[in-house]
Amino acid sequence: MKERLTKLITVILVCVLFAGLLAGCSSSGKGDDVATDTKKEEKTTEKKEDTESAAQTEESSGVVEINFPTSWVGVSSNTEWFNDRLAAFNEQYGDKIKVNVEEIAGDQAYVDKMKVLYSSNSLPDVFSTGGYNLIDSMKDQLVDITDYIDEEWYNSNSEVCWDVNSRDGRIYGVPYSRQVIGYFYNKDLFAQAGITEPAKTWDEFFEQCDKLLAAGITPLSMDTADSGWVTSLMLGAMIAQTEEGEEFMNTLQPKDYNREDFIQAATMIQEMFQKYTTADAVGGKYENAASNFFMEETAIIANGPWMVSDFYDENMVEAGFAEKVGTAMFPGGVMYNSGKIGFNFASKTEEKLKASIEFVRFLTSEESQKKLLEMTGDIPSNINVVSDQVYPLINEVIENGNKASRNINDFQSLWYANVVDEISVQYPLLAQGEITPEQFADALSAVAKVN
Amino acid sequence: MGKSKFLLATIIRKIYLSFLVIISIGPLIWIIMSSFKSNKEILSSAFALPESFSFKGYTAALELSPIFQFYGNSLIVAIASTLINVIVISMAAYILARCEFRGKTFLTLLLSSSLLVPTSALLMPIYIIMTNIGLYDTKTGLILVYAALGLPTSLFVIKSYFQSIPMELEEAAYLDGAGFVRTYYAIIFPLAKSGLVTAAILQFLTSWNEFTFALILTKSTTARTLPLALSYFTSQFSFNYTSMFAALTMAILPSIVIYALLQEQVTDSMVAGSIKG
Repeated sequence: MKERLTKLITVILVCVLFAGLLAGCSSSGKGDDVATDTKKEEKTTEKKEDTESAAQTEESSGVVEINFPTSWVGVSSNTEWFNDRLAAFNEQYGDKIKVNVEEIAGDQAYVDKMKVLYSSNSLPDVFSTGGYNLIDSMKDQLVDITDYIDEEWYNSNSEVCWDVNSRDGRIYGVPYSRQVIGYFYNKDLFAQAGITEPAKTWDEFFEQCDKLLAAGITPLSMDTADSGWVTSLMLGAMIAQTEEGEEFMNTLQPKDYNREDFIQAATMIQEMFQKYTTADAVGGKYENAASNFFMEETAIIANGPWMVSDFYDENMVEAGFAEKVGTAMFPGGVMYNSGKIGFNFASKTEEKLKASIEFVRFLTSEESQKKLLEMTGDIPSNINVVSDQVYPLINEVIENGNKASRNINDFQSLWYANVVDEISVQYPLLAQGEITPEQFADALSAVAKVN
Repeated sequence: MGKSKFLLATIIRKIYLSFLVIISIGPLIWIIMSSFKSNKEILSSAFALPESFSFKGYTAALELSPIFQFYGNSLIVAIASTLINVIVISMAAYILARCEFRGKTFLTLLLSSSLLVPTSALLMPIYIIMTNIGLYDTKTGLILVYAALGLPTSLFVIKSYFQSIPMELEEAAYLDGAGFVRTYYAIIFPLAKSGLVTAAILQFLTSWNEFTFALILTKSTTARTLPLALSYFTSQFSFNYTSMFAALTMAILPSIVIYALLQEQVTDSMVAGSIKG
């Protein structure tokens, strides 16, 4: 009996082994491309000759294939919008351009893969990191698309959006969205603490935090993981209290963080970690910070308008939660009001580049951006796009952006990628008092100087 | 006196066993329970029972990610890489454990030293090799890479086990007329079952859980494995815990069921070597 069982298991395992080998060998010709029909003719990294022969094949069939990896899959807030736009693009351009979509779930995983592809000189035709700045570290392999942007296209987008995607006057990315970020607060919790309106200065902000604490309410949602997005937004807003600070928060790739305003802001962040936030802030991600705000365990969270749709999602929050949420500028009238890194191009042939630009032009058209605004709450880079079908809170955020006296850019777009990574290492040390704010500034400066 | 001592020992034993059961099963039950709760319930009362048993998380998980396809790929990749790893490396380990030849120490050190090479340093070279030999985005590519990644660990485990088997058994086999190959397959291989199973389990778990190479070396759902599916449920600014826990439940339950059904065989093979040896 035992012998028969052993034989059976052996046969099954051998079959599985061969099935794996055969399936593996054959899978190179198959894909998960969202764009359907014909089989793939090429792999991501091909030798030059292969690329040329593939180009010839494409020419003869009249369809140009381009590769586009995306993290707009799964629970990403842009998934529904992207699938809708891709279907519309395929319908309109399917006989000319085929988009091979690679799904890479998770923003960090996406960036990691792009780094490996860059190292082996095999970046895809077009990619979008969702805000991470890879332009500076990958510029030598990116295509300068300045000559492909006509006047009409250029003028339809906000100047700040082109700025963040340009280097030395040359354009390396096409914007699709504008970052307008302040903070959200819980009006009910503010009322319980006797606070009537958002603070105008940081001193007043800390007084309000004390009032909230006295009322038994944890004032702030904070995080440290994944570059501590929520926390770093506060840090940047604190730095930008003066003209010099505002200039620093609009400077691309600063190397020296040993500045008085930066150290002062880091001191305030340290105090926030130690007195005014939740226990899970150290080591926590955005989702921990957001959950605490959704559950009304904290009164304040810094973030952009893409979060607003969650305020209405009864799977996330209590019914009527959105009515309790207010929007505010950071103290000193500071708002993040800038462009966002958009679509970058690394096509190796002119034909593929033109097809990639056509694809991106479609994704950033007025119609697509209007849908983006309505479906995700992401504020369009196109200045002509307006819609009356958006949540009122999103309009409030845009209004705050228009009224802000100081406008800054966010750290993920400005600072070196290794500095952004280093923040997650240093925040827990700062929070636990293992390093001083001066040492925090030193650590970031040291990492920046490696570049 | 003796009775009360016995009672005390029984109580301590039961408390200890209950503790082990709770820390082993607790997280699994929590995941399964959470898969029936809404995000709101998970966030507000993490340890409470679900208000109602809703399967929405499961349907959403299946819509959001191709979890079953990734599960199948993971099974094929993990089993195949484990078989290749154990069969090939056991042969190398036997030679290194039993034969004397020039450069043996150097060769052993060389093979073992690959354990010290960080994964991040291997990513780019392996990516380039795989694309150049046409194995990018294939299960075969992943199988070969995983089998190779487990080389130093398996070599160390299996070689140590071979060295613990008495030489006299092989000498007796040679005296009875068995050749080198027959001695290995008929005498040594069955005796080393325990060591081989240990190496196989380690290799299987490494292949089953690996994320980075799976991400870098594949791009389509036909080759991607289970750890990648779990990234579909959290992104920088959005998350769906219910679906993530539903996906985790779907990912872990079959493994638990298979282990529960086969545990006798696994335990048998684990102890078989020690009895015979």
